[in-house]
Amino acid sequence: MKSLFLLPNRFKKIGYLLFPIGLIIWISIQQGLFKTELNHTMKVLILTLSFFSFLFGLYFTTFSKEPIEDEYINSVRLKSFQISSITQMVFFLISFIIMFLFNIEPSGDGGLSIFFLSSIILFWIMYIMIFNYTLINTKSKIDD
Amino acid sequence: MINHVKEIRVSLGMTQQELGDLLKVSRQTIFSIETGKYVPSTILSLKISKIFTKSVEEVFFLEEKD
Repeated sequence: MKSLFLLPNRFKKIGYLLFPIGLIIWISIQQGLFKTELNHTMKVLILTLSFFSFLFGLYFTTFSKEPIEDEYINSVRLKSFQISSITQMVFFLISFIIMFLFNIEPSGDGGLSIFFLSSIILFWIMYIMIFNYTLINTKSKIDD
Repeated sequence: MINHVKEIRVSLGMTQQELGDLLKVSRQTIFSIETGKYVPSTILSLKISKIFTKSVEEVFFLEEKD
């Protein structure tokens, strides 16, 4: 079965390696956990590289084929996308209700971009979790 | 939709893996079809029937709710 826009299976392993490393480095630099003297340009470069490795890691994990990519896998993909979309919508709704009720506003452009970025990342993380959970769950039932 | 994939497969002495290999699908797919968690496409249904040398109607049945 032909699937559009899916990367070869080897990209999944690369993705699983890239996204946690990227995320850890990105958070560590942001929080100033590394006590090394980095000049501004170097810091921005590392931040950009780590963030993009996190993002590409997520995309590689999401958009790479399974060892046997068949119609059942495609249906699991579709279901995972649907549940992730609903979760993202619920996240938006709850966030806006909380912001409205408690009169909270994301502070400045930075706060707003973190809010939107987290909603995008939530979508992909949810997708990866649901997709893998469904496949692992089915596999474990076969082995029973 | 209900199906007799498991019964026919077992009667032919075939494993889920062997059927999956013949159909070029994973063992998970065969398991999901047999347990009724996944309804296969027309193409896959026809392929399954062909391997079992039976008609589609002998393998797959519509339920009242369908």
